[in-house]
Amino acid sequence: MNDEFIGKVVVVTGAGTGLGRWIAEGFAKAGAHTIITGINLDECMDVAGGLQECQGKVIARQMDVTNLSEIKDTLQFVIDEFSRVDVLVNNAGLVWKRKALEVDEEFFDQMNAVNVKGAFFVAQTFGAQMVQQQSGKIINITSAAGKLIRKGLANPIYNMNKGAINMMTKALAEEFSQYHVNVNAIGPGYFETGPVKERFVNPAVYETVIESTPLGKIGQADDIQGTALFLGSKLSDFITGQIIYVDGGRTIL
Amino acid sequence: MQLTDKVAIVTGAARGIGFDIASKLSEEGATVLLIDKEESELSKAVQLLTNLKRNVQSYVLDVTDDFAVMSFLDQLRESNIKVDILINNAGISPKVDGVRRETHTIPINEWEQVLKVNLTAPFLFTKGVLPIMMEKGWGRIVNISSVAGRQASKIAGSHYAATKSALIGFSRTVASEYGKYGITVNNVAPGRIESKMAEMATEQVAENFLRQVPLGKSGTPQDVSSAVLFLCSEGANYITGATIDVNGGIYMN
Repeated sequence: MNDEFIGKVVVVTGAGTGLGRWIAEGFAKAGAHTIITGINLDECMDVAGGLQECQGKVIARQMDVTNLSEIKDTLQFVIDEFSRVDVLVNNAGLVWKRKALEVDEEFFDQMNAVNVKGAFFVAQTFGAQMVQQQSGKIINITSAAGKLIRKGLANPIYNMNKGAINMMTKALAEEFSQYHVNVNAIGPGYFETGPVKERFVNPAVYETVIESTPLGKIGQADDIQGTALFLGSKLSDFITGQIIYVDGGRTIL
Repeated sequence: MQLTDKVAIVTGAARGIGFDIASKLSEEGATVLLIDKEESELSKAVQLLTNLKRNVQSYVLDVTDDFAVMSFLDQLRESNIKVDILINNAGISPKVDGVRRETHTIPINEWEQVLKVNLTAPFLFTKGVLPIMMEKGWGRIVNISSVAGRQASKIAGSHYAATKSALIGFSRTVASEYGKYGITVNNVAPGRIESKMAEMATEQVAENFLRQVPLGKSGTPQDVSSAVLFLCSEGANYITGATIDVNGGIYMN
């Protein structure tokens, strides 16, 4: 990959924390101009602040994916600044958990607004720019939870949301293929981010997860960065409509 | 360079995808043992890489010869060559005048030959290198599957499709068995790639296929070897049992 990302423009949503933050850091360290977007500007500024030594510009930007005009404004901001977008990492998502019988309309709508509707309009908005450029890479962040459900681990609305992202990935890949825009997804398993660490305070939960992960470990920052950089690079030009599971092998069991 | 001090085996390495994989791995610093049954093509391939100052060795070996494969592996152990990476690439897809045989006309010896090259040989090599990798606590095995192992085969015969699906099941299970030793086992499943094997199909067959590829073109051996290299790199440390489909979108996983 080397210096491929120098001068490239990468937009990451939900980049203030967790996986989005790590992915943004991966692109910034690879030399890309990186736009750190998130619902909480302070968090985004923190992330960007730590990356100012990088070769590319790293800019924090408030963007709530449920607010369509903020999405459009962000695209306009990026175009004014850089005239193009090379990679979109469509990561923002809620990981709230409720059993089906406890889901009310408000919970359903909020999850859907961020995880499905938000993800779609972010992809549509930035995808339109890539179509116009006749180049670009969209990387959606789905989840191992979008593929399978294990005993005791159902989270119906989240499972449904990520299933929708999987089909969105394939449908957009087909529609954008004629414009040389690739659309793929990463399906992470358990990574050592804030919400997961909280759950692992209970050693029994941690043990169960380790036992059901062939590689016997939890994912770290460089594990997600490697796949994101691969899918954002020219190395994956013939790959589109695919979901790569970065899960230590969880989904094969 | 990402693979300095690593030793890699690539089967079917004299030409096409296998040669390109050997080239990429050696470019990244690995010592590559190229295996092929075509002696003169293999020596040309090795000469080419040697001229580029790559660290390569060649072994003329028919992978359907169980005895020869096992004595090659014994020889490796005796000479203390520590294999880190195994790429099971050798494969055949018999056709008659550029068209596959229909299943009711496949001779049993052709069926067995395809199983030997495409499935038994990967098993033998995997079996042979696993103890070496377990000792090291690190290993990368990549099996070259095919889009014909993912959906009804359009060009190759049913024997070829059967072996390519079988490799995926084989990889998943080996991945789950050996994850605890730091060994990952993954597949790359190419679609139509410019190669000698692809050229064996008639132009009509090829055209019909390409019409269904969203990206509208054949891939190159480089598209495949890039995915293989990624799976061998540190960036893919948390991926195992996975299949990366490099097919221009004709099959979306």
